[in-house]
Amino acid sequence: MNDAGSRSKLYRFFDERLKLESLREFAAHKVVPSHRHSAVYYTGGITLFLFIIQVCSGILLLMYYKGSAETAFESVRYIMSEVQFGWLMRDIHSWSANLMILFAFLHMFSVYFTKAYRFPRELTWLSGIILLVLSMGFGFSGYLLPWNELAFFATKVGTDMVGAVPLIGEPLLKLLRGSEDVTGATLSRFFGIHVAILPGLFMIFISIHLILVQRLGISEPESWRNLPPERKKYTPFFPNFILKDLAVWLVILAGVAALSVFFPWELGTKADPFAPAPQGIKPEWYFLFMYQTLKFIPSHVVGIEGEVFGIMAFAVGAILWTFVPFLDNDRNRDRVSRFFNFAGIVIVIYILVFTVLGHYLE
Amino acid sequence: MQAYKYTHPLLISIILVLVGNSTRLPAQEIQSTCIECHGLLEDEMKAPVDSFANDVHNRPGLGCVGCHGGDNTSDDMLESMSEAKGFIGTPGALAIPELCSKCHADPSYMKTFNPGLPTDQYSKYLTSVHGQKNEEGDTMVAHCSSCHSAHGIRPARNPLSSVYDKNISATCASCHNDSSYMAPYDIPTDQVEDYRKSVHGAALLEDDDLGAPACNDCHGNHGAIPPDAESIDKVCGLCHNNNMVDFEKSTHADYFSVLESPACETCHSNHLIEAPGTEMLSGEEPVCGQCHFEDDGTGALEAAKLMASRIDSLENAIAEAEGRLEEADQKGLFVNNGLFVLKDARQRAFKARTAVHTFQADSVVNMTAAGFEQVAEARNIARELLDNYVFRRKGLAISVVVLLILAVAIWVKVKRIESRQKH
Repeated sequence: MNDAGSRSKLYRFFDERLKLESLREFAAHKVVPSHRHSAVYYTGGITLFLFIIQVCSGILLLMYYKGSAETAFESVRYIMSEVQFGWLMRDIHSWSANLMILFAFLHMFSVYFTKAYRFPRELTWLSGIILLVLSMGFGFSGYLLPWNELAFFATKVGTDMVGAVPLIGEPLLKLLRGSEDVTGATLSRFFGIHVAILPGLFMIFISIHLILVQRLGISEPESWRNLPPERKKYTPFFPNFILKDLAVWLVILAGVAALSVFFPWELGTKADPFAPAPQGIKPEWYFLFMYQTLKFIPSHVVGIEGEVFGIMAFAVGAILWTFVPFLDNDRNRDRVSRFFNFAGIVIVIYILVFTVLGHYLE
Repeated sequence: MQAYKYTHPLLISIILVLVGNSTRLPAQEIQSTCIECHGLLEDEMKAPVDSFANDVHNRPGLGCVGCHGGDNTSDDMLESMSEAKGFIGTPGALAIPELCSKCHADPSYMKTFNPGLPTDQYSKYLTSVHGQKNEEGDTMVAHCSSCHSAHGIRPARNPLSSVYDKNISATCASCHNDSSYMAPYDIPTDQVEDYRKSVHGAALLEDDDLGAPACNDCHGNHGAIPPDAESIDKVCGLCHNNNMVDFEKSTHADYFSVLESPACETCHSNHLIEAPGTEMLSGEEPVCGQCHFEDDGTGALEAAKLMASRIDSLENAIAEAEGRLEEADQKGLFVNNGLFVLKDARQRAFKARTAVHTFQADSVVNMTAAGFEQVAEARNIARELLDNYVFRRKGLAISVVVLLILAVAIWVKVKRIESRQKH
């Protein structure tokens, strides 16, 4: 589009119909704080970009994947061996899924430690927590879809944990599995959840999350509270920040491609429900800290079954974490805030240590 | 064969009376006076009590009196072990088979305990060499308790049983490996040692493969007879069915029959059966050379060498293709399709080994020809995968360079925009 006359004509066409001028005005004034920790602002964008990769590669995989116990494993094998660049799509989908959860965690903790969840961004935090839970749901449901031995037994162990939840555990387990045990019915169910229910919910919450981010603007660091306006530096969102975001996304895409070529995901052997569980079955890495904690808990704690106690403790922890913007708000700063910083560091260390232990211990 | 040497009954009676008097229990508390009294004795008089604790017959209604007779409710030894109460003492070797058969040959009685247990053991035993000699009055040959023990009888599936698959060779060896004991019978005593060195013995005893044959799988158990020249192929053919079918169709079947040579044993031996290999056909001392010689007009040795060479070539080609696929696998490529094809090729090689028993070189050549085609297919798959690996690397390198150039270009553009904004 080189001709300025035709550009303005085209612009006028859309402006008359979409009211682009107000959007252009909004974009022209949108800024991103510029300081030595500005890098954390990229974590959300990277997570979003990885989600876009997931959607694109997922749609391509969907063209060949067949979600039933009889055909799932064979169809993934077909994708990996016969479909042009099918191996690349599967590897990119798997790597990008793991990186997406990793960056979602990084994004969450960067928001936590910069106190970006405080007023007026409590709802942004809540929608983000929901998106993280949905992402983990994506990971859990997607892991079973190749219907291989490891996925089968890891799903069995994972859904067993759901069954240990007091009162609702048993019906929830049946609802999730579609039967008493992990069977072809579970695979069909997980497939439906993975490609229809979760994407639908995710689109709703990611829209809310992004609208809130745009409406409320990018959070400024706590240290800026008492700075005079002339000492605060900002980068225009359009085009500076969005172009930088794009450059980072390209580097991430190169990284995902390199991981896919050098560390492809194995398919393993087809799931056999009647075979004994192989040694060392573990859930995906982002569930490892919970899995390892449950293994360390004694069989009974204060008269409650150890596993139930652990799940209840995680539930309480998750609720507190979700509502942290309301516990650590603007009104009770300083001392309480330091407690939350300390708690955050302890949680990060705990997750790292237990994930490493879960990985290396039998 | 273990002979039972009991002390004179009078001496036992005296001991039991002495002990019995001092430990007499009220009648209502006594479960079995046999157990009560023998449990207080020592060594071989007490041994049956200890063994019987784990015996399959140790259950209400059976017990000591089931075999020995007598009255196990009476605490008076003279009464409990009286002939009037049916006490028979220690049954002799000649009496044991018939004694056991009273229950074990009665289907309606055995049904009440174990409906799945056969009841033809005794009738089979009478057809065996052991049974026939026992009938003739030979007390040295095996009878029921020689193999099953007397008081510690466990079901054959129990790993502690003397007739459990892995224990049978030791049980048979207790007599058949004893040259002095076996001297009167003029048969070899190295069978069990040979068996343990054989491919069957190694599979069962070292690799715990319970599907591998023990002594009784070829010789039968209760109806144990040594297979003769005509029946040996039937015995081997029970497991090695395809080999037997090929052999029976071959010209060798007729010749072996005329020469009264045992079918399988002539080439594979009997107890010391080694893992068969192509060296049997083309080694320094091929088994074919036992009957055939160079230029004997049959072309047998040449055919044997051709068969061996085709099988060896196919197996080497499979190993080579497997190595190529392994190389691709280590590079993270998806090699399952190649492995599937190789699985078929391996099956062909296996069938070619079986086809040796037709003694027709053409059969082996045809079988291996299909295998070579599959190996070629697997090698193609491996080559394509390895080419693809190079393609992936190149593709990745180009993509990464393009992506990074784009990223740098964007970054430079941003810097220019920022510099323009400052001015």
